[in-house]
Amino acid sequence: MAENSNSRRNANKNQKDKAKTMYGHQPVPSAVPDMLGVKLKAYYGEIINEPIPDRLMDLMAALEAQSATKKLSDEALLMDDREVNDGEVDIGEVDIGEVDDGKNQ
Amino acid sequence: MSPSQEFAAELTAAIPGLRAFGMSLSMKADRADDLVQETMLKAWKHHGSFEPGTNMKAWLYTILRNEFYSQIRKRKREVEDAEGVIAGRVTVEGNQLSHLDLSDMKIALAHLPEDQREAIILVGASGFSYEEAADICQVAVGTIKSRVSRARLRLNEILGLGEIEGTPNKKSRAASEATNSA
Repeated sequence: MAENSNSRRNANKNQKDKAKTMYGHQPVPSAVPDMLGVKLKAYYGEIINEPIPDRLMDLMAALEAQSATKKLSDEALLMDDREVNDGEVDIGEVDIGEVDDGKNQ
Repeated sequence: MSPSQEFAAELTAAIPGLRAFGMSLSMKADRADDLVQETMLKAWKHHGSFEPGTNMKAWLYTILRNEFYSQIRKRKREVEDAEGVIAGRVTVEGNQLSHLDLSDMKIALAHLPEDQREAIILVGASGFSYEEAADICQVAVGTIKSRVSRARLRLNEILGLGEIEGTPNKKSRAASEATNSA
């Protein structure tokens, strides 16, 4: 697996036709793929249906919380700029109620 | 810019599938969760390089796969270890599982070379097309097709399905006895 993936890709392009002839669309005996397919999906389904470990859910929550905080502070900054640059802007027009509250806390 | 809510929702929805893929690559549950964790962090950090409207699931699987192989390169010793130990380890884990088919399949998958294992998992279990699997594994479509076809033959042989009239092999019989006596 340490091969360079580009050279591998090129090599594979060259072998493409050969591979087609060797394995191509040659069907595996007809009853076989279905039985195997069912078993493979059952194996996979068992794992998929396991509950997601807490540490992964916690990580997801932390990532979302982090970006929510960042978004809020970005918006607050933007609003500060507006207030400074244009004192006459009608703040009521812009939907910044929540951000305003957050900033004042 | 922060990732969109849609991005977060799609990432969350992909976690179970990523775990299953990570498990099938590494054959170890805790290792799989490490891979998923790294994948989530990388996806979040590099969300800007994801093109909205393209296949996010395939993008995430690619990240996880790259992470798996880069960890292997970093820990070459562990690869050598895995080749010798993997069968035994899987058997032990398999015997602890109550679901016989699941443990049989796990043992059988462990006997496949990694390239065939990931190909059959992506196409035969995760529901990717040959083309998507080829993108994820960064090889030609024909290569994926031949890997899937060889993996199928080998799995059928090991599991005693199809052509070969199926007396269960020693391993599945042992697993069956372990399950019955548990």
